[in-house]
Amino acid sequence: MPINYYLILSAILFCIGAFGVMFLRNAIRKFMCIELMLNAVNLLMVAFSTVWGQAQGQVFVFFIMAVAAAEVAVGLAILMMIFRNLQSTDTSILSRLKW
Amino acid sequence: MTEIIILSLTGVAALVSEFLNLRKMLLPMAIVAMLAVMLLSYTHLDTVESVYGMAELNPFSSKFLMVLCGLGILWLWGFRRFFEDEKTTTDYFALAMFSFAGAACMVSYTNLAMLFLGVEILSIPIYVLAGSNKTDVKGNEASFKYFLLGAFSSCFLLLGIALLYGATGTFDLGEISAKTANLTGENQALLQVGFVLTVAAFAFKVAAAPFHFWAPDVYEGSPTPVTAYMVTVVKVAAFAALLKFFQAFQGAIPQTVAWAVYGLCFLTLMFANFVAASQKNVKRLMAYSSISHTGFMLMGIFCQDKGAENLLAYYALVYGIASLTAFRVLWYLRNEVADIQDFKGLLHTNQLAAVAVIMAMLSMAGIPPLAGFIAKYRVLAAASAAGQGWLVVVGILASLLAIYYYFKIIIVMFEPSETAPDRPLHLADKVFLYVCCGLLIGLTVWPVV
Repeated sequence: MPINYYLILSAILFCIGAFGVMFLRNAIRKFMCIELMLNAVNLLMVAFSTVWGQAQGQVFVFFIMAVAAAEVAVGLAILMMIFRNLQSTDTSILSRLKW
Repeated sequence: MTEIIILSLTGVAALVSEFLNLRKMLLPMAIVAMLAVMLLSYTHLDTVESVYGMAELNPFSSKFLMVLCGLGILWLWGFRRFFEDEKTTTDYFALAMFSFAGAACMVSYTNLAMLFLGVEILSIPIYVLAGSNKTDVKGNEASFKYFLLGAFSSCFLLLGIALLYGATGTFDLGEISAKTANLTGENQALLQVGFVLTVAAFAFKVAAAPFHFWAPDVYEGSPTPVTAYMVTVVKVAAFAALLKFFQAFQGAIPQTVAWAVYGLCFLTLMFANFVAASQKNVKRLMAYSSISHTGFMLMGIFCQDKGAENLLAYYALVYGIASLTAFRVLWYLRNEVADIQDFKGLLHTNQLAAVAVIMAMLSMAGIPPLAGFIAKYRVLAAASAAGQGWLVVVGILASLLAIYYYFKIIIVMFEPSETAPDRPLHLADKVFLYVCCGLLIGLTVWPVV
């Protein structure tokens, strides 16, 4: 299967994720979209890794997964903190600071 | 190698000291660790040591490590009251030191995997520190925005790295650099897209327009010490990494991409200064000023291929010292929200603090005889030597605009004060301000890098 298919699929997934982060209101959904973007990159890494016949790209994927887990742990903690103070996960109420 | 280990171990030691009851020892320990790293880097100034092909301690990384450690020591010293609360002191120290270790990885990477890990190690503790004031809604919001945009920009960085890998089949920056010249059509396209995406991710991190929009919010909402950390250590590390990345692609960038990069620089300089002029909140104003300095530093990176690291390290050091001074006085005046009127009559109530702010502002505005002038002059000279005359004109216009809002703060300080002089500065803080002022003048006479 040519690499182009993987490129297109990853690009689509990445764009869905990016648009989700920009336009969704719910913070949890934003997090999920970020995960989607990261997984698009993971897919691409693995595909390229196969094309070049090396394991480097696949090892990189493990790093991305580990870091993403650490990041989401911090992100959810931040979200909990906001939820305690404001009783909501809707990001549109986060407007005390102008964007 | 030793440098990164020392910094990480200090972070671990900070965690351990929670149950060993060594909280009082943490500040001296962290400062000693940074001094040790600084000395080690000094001995590395003309040696090259590879760390398993992932990182390399060479003159480049040593220079930036020294700048980072210098700023880190000043930061720890000036903002030590931030760590004073018994309950959180070890956590904050550990987070700060781990983040610092991430900065050390970022300035010394040679493998893109190390770059990614460095960026994340640097950023994740800062997301937490930005929200360290848990009940403050603004702090929550700043922390959330910083987290979301940090993660978002990391995704772009990763996509860029993936495409570079696809084009060249390696994550090693040196090998990528060697392969850029002879790539075929399809791989060439992948390489260019990968380069643009990675630079865009860096532009997010260093807050260059049009990717800067998070910066004023985050800088305003975070606790002042954390803001000071973001504009100094985080910025220097990100710039060092960007410079290293950029140097690897020297000569392989097509003209259209180069123009986009100059456009980034132009937009950052113009936009930041126009918006800064209308700000009333000092922290937001400082955020826009920091964006405008980003523009100057980008100019230095893009215009000079050899010796750019000296130029950038000097600029970053001078700008870092000036902003640490300004933020320290701001923190002394008011813990959280800061209006320009807070500075009213400062010259009559606390002369040392006022003089320090004046010197910091003059240095940032680039007025001789302060070090900021030399820094700006070197950047503009580099731009003109690279044949980018129009960028020099833009840079000078931007500096002129900047003088307006820096002087807004200075003028307010000369107004008569309505309040009686309150808390005097602690002796250690006086020493901090004297040292900063001394450096701002001293660095003009003796430009270290």
